[in-house]
Amino acid sequence: MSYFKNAYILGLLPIVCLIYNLIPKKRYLFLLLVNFAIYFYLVNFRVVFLLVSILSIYFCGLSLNKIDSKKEKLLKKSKEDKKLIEKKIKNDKKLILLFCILLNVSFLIVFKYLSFFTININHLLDFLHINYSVGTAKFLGPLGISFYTLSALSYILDVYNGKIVADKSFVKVALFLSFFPQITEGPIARFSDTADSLYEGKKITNQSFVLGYQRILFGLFKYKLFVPRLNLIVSKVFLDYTNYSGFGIFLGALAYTVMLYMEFSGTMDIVIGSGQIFGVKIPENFRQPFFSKNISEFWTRWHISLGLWFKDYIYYPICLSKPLKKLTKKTRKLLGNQYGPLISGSIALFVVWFLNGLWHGAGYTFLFFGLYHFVMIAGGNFITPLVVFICKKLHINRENIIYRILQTLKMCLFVIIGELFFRVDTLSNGFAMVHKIFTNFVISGSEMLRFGLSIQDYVVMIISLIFIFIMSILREKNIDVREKLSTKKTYVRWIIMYVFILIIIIFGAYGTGYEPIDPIYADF
Amino acid sequence: MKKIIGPFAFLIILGLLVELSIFIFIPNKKNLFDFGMYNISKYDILNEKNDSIDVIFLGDSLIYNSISPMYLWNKYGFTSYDCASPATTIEEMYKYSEVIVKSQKPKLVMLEADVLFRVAPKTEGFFEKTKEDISNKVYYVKKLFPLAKYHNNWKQIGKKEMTEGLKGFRYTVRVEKSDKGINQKETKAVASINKENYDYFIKLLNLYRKNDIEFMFIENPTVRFRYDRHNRIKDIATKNNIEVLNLNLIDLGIDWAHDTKDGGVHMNYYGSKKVSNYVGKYIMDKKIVKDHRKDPNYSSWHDAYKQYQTLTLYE
Repeated sequence: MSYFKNAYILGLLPIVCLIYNLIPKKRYLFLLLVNFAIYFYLVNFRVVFLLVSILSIYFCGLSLNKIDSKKEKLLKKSKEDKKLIEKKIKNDKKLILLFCILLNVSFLIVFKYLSFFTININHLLDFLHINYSVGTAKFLGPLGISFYTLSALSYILDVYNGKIVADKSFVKVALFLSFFPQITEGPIARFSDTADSLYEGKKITNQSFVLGYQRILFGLFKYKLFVPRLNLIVSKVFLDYTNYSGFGIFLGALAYTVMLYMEFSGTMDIVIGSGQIFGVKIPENFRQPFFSKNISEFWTRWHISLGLWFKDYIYYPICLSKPLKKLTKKTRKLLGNQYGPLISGSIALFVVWFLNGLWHGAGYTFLFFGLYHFVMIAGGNFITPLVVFICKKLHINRENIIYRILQTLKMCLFVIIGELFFRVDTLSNGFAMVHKIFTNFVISGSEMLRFGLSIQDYVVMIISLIFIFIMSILREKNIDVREKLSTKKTYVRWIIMYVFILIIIIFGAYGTGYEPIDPIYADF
Repeated sequence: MKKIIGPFAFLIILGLLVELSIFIFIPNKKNLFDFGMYNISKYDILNEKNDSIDVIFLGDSLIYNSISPMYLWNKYGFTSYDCASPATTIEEMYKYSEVIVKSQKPKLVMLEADVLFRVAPKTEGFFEKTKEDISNKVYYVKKLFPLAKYHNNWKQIGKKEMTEGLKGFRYTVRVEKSDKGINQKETKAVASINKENYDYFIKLLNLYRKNDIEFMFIENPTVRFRYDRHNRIKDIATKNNIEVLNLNLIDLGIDWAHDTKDGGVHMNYYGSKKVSNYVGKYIMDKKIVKDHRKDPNYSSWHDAYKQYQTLTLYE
């Protein structure tokens, strides 16, 4: 489902809002019904897998609660050794957790990775000259499975770790996992982020409706002004890069990076705006990523909810595991306090980026994408102290504006190359494209007009980019434009909104010559 | 009360602004004012200068996917227009033609024969799911909201004369191959035609004959081609002394794995070039149209071709 379609923005959403507000109480039941009706419309019978995920985390969560309360009672009553009871309880809890994780992850493996695994097993058997092959199977998975599975896992892990108490309300858990604006492309919310407000079922106010739609319009602006235009460049360059010079290929990779940002962050604007209408504060997924100093910071600002998920449930548990703690102790002695902890940190980082690559898709290009970032970030961690030392010696101020701009440009270049590998069909194409960028780079205006875009198209995109840049600076400075706007007189607000809407309608790239594209992140 | 009136007032003003802004973006307003603003998007041809179109291609999606007037202009120099709407009926085409002949006197009108067999649905189901239905809905949205179609003309603001770069043609490079191609197996069977449709066809024919406009059938290539229908069209043509150009029985060099946008039902841009090339030569051989490429009165067609080229140059 594309959230940019008129059917969603002008049809489905306002109708759901209207009926929702007409219901006097227990609005959450209506919302749940809508969530499942929409999801059923999108995936038909595969809605069962979502239902199984909800049931599994609901009952496993309650079982974990039950064991915890049993533990208190046992500790009070029993004269057995306290440690023994705690160990037994812990084992029981682990078993439940393991069952829940395996069940949810198994769906993900079957739908997303089975085909990739079986193909590779066959390659291996072939390589070993074993005359046997396993059947390759590809099942069409339910939409958004990568997103809601991670949300489901976060719930059960938080209950296990005692961060939250499993909720007794099935409706609340189901609402948390199935909220229709979030189901296909996230953000990967935590239970504490959205569940209470979804269950509360606040009445939609004029203010929440207007603020929500303003955010939706901003998302629509990002999509309509950029995505179909940039897609003309991207589709042509990545279809056959040999037709283009290094400059053309770089333009294609740059266009893809900007397109991904506009498409995904635009979708998030619509998702967050939709949530705001219902009084649900969906967590932000982007925080001006292109203002980052380095690639490591970039990933704390881009797809934030995924980064945080990996940090909380993969990175920290690995870092804090007994073997790695031991390793850190040893490496500290060997390499000192600065470099010592980086070894175990890098091991955890490797696992995170390996999984991050795999999460995005089953394929070598995605694995490379993950490992590329691992090398960049881990490398950065090792090199930074040296760079700081050299700058100090050469009296270079690292906070200097020129230094900052150069840092950002370097970061952007790394990101663009990473995204190029994210988009290519094969790794060899990716390497050949990068090779051409660095060996055959000649800036050419005529090459820019080879994609079906006119000079006016470029002008519109540049002006829109300046507008988004200004908005990003304001957000970076914590200035809420919508809040400022709400203090203005009605006619001023209306004029601004009319201008904004007409800009989208008139300068938006749709109709003849522009093909709408399917949601990019919904495929991951 | 203010809470209710406010949003309504906002939406009404927005609607007015959107509808009014169409006046900036429509190419030739004169004809539209003469004939009324009804169905702006459908009556695209009214944007053209009076009596400036040589050939009109009348019909349904088989027309606007197969024949590219800008290709014809560039290669042969005559002007033409695709006057077609999705899944249209002969009754609709007649009413449409009544408006068109008031501003255009083409030398030739070619009607897609497929239209004669379509019966207008009397009732509409609540859930319509076919591709054609969906495409119709998009079409009706555009009819209600012409700015959605004309908004790209902002690129021409400031020019002396606004032009439209497709002239009714629908450009797409989408490829969905067909495994079977056209079934050319001859049959003696003759398909039937609804009496109402035939009556409207006769009215349509008389309308063009009354205006001294040559009229003929065209059958554009599609895997849905039916020989029994072709037989019926041949009968009607003989009876009324009309020519038939059946492109389903001629080798146009169509590659069914590449030249169709939807499994062989319609051509895509690549297929349209092959069809247009043949149709253009056919019309030129009739010696009823002139090459206007050097005529300054038709200079806006060169601008239109530039727009078309921007779209298609690297395909």
